[in-house]
Amino acid sequence: MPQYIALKDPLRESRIYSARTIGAIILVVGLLAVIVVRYHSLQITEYENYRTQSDRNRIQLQPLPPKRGLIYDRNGVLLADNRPSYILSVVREQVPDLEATLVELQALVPVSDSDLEKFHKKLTRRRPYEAVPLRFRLTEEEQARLAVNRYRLPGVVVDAQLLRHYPHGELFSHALGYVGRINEREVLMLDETQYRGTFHVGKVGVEKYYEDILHGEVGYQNVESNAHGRVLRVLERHAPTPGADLTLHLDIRVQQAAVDALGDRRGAVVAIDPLTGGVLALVSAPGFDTNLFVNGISSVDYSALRDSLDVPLFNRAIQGQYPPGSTIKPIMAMAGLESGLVTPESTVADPGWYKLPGDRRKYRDWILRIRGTGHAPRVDMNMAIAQSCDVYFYDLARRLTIDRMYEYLHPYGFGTRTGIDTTSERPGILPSTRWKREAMAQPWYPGETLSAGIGQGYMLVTPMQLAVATSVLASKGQRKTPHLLQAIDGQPVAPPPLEPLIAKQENWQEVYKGMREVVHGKRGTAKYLAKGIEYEMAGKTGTAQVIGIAQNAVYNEDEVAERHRHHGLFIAFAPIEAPTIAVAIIVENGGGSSAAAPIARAVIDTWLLGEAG
Amino acid sequence: MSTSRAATAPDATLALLGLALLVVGLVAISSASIEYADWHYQNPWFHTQRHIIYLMIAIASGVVVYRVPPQFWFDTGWIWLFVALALLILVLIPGIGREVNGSQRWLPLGPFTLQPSEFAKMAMVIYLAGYMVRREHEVRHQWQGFLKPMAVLFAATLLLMIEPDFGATVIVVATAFGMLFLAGVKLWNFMLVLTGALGAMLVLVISEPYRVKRLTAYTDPWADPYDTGFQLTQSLIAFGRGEWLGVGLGNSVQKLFYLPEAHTDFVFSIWAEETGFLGAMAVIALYAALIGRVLWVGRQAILAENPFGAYVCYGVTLIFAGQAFVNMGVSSGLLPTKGLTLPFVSYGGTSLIVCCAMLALVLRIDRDTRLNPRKGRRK
Repeated sequence: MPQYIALKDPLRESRIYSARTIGAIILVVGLLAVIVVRYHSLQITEYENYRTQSDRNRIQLQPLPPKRGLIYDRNGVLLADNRPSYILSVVREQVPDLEATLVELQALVPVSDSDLEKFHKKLTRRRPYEAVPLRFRLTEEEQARLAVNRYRLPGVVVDAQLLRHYPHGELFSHALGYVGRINEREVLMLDETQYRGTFHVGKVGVEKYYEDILHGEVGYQNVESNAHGRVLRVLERHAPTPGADLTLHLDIRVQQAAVDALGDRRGAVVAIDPLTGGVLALVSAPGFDTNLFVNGISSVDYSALRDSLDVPLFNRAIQGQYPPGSTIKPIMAMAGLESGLVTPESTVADPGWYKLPGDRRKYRDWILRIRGTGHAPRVDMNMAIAQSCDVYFYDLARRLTIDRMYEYLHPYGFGTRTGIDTTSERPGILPSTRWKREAMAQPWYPGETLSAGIGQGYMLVTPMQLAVATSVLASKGQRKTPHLLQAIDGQPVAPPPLEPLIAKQENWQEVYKGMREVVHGKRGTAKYLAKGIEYEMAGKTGTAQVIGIAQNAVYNEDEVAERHRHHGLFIAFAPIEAPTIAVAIIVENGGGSSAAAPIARAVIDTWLLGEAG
Repeated sequence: MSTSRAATAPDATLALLGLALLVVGLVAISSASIEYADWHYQNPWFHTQRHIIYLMIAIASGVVVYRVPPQFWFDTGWIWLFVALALLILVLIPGIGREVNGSQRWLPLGPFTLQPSEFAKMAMVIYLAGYMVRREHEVRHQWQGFLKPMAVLFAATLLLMIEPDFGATVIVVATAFGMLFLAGVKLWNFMLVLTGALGAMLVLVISEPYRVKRLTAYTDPWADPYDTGFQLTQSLIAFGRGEWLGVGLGNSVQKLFYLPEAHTDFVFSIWAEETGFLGAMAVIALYAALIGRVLWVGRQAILAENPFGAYVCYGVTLIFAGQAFVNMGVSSGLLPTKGLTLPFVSYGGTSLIVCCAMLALVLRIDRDTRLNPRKGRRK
């Protein structure tokens, strides 16, 4: 313990000590007094002043949502527009009695239960001074009724907001996609700042794929508003940056021609410019009116679309996976020529059927049922393509083997997603021994090679893949990622080119010759197309046995017969000397290729000659 | 030695005053945080629940401190000081200390965080009190007696300034000076240090004039109400809305996102808005009574010839009074904005625990004085 040092002058020390303690106490009391005086002045004397600051001149930070970019076709026709729409919203903080106000509002304008439900859900998510939308698309009469009653409804706001509108809703439903109200799952994923004040987001298709470009940058303003939320003056404003406008490769004339030619049949049409990879038409029929989705589709409309046997919400052009049938033959022919297994002169005996060595089973040619015999005693490649001879390609497939077939077909884009700039594309199937082992845990059987050789069996393609493959044929191996987007705000954009497919010039010409015969030959399978044609078209017909396109389609006994008919397919490009368009068409349950081929003629006529539209 | 039950029990007046302030804090934080917590955590009681956990830890640590004889603190004061300085260094190491809003003040500790600056305040009080008893003569009559604690203070101040935590710096310096002053250090010693400090400040101000501007910005928050002045203008509006009786508990409008994070350093603004001038005065009265009672305990300790107990009481008084004054002054625009907690009331675990521990220490000193009125210090 330290020694306690006795004080020399205890009395004096004690006096100093007491004096200092008293001084400290006086200081503390003084500071307390300062606080008390300050609080009194703030809370009592200047009460009116501060209450005014608080109540009457409320400062609010308001988001300024950006204008969504517009979408045009290649001719400058507006495909997606923003139109003013009047919205009824409620600012919770300013409403004295929310329930009473809601009852009052329902008496003035019709408010559906789903509107109310969505309103209550949003109410908990938005801040008390933010407007929560209750009803969209107010009519002029409804606006007037609300305006008249506005004086007794504090906190009720009618705002004009730009709303997405699709002038050609159904025509481009699957090509464009649509926007819809932001749902709870999207709220968590989207940038909270950027989407404050924005109610809609791209849900499907181009609208979703290019959401970042179309959305723009949010702006904001600081405003002083009165107790009823009326803006008194804007203190500070940062303008939003509007989203960029998109120009697509789509051509409304070609799109319209495809839709008209399809009529009320189910199917898909894809047209591509082989020079650029730009998609000129993307049709999946039936379509639907995308405008229904913009502000939340009603459950009646939605179940009608969802439960329809025709699955209108299903984008057949990129999600539908079909056997390519005989449309695969020109590409098989290229594989045969490039591999050296066949030459233009080599022939195959055609009795109308084909047998594998050591197997008694007969693989029939489609012509056997019609004529009872083959196409000719011996068939060469030109005839095999022009008349769609199965036996020729059975023989080629057997000699090529499935795995080499895979190698030759893969560069045309089969078995992988094409990478088109839209959502929910499916990859199809290009079979190989490895694929079968992995997907089905089974070995490959030789008979399956024959089926694959004529585009049946396991092989599945989307119409988009078929169009891409046709485009690769048309451009003699120039591979392009198909894309819808042509320009952003007028600045052209294009995806990087892919590695070209190298093949001999004379081989391309040989296949072209066969495809020309399909349309222009005396015995071509689509010779009826040549009537009155003003250009040279290369084509190939195809028929696919029905395996059931949509797994989610409902089985309906009355419809079975019609829905068991074959799918009709057709691929084509034109003009042969310098192709500017490649198309792939499928007509579901069309019976045969004759359902699909005339659509190609209509589409190509429109593109090349500017007819119709 | 006869130790009746009444004599060993803590001073009821002081304990109840502390408890009253804790209750005020719990109510104020629950009310101020309810909307904020609901918005950010989807749980309106998020901060209330955490505060209750802090409260339980704080009271438990108070009970522990009450059971420890003051002699222990007297003997180990320098160890606590070293621990405190070590923690202040630790918090500055990147990766260990947690940075929030540009200040590195927190040590993450599982689900909670520790604020070493709070701990440093208490350690400084205990160390200084012990030092002044051990070197009473030196402190009062010689230069080195004054200079040695100044060196320790300088080290702590430097570490706090690096964080930076100017609020804690002010409190630690003011408390140390106050204790030395009350212990009887010669006045001209203070004059010299004060002159030196003023000179340093002058150099700082002349070299970097923007500091003055920042320091004086608080005097006119309305000049820039949406940026630097935003928190303060919203706080003033909260006060202003209160009038005599307030808008009623739970009815604050300012807490609805106008006053950012109303449950932390500006919790008193919401209390003043909801309970009015009278509610604010009631809390000030509680503080005044608490501070007065602690000073009284210190006086009794002096009379019982227990200078260590007395100095601790003065130190605690200075911390409580200083922090309460600064916090209340800041939220009403009297002082520049500094992140200082309101003792016993503000949300913040370390502050609450340290306040309860200091109060428990004072209660223990009072108990020992009553048990042994002639001689608090055992030889």
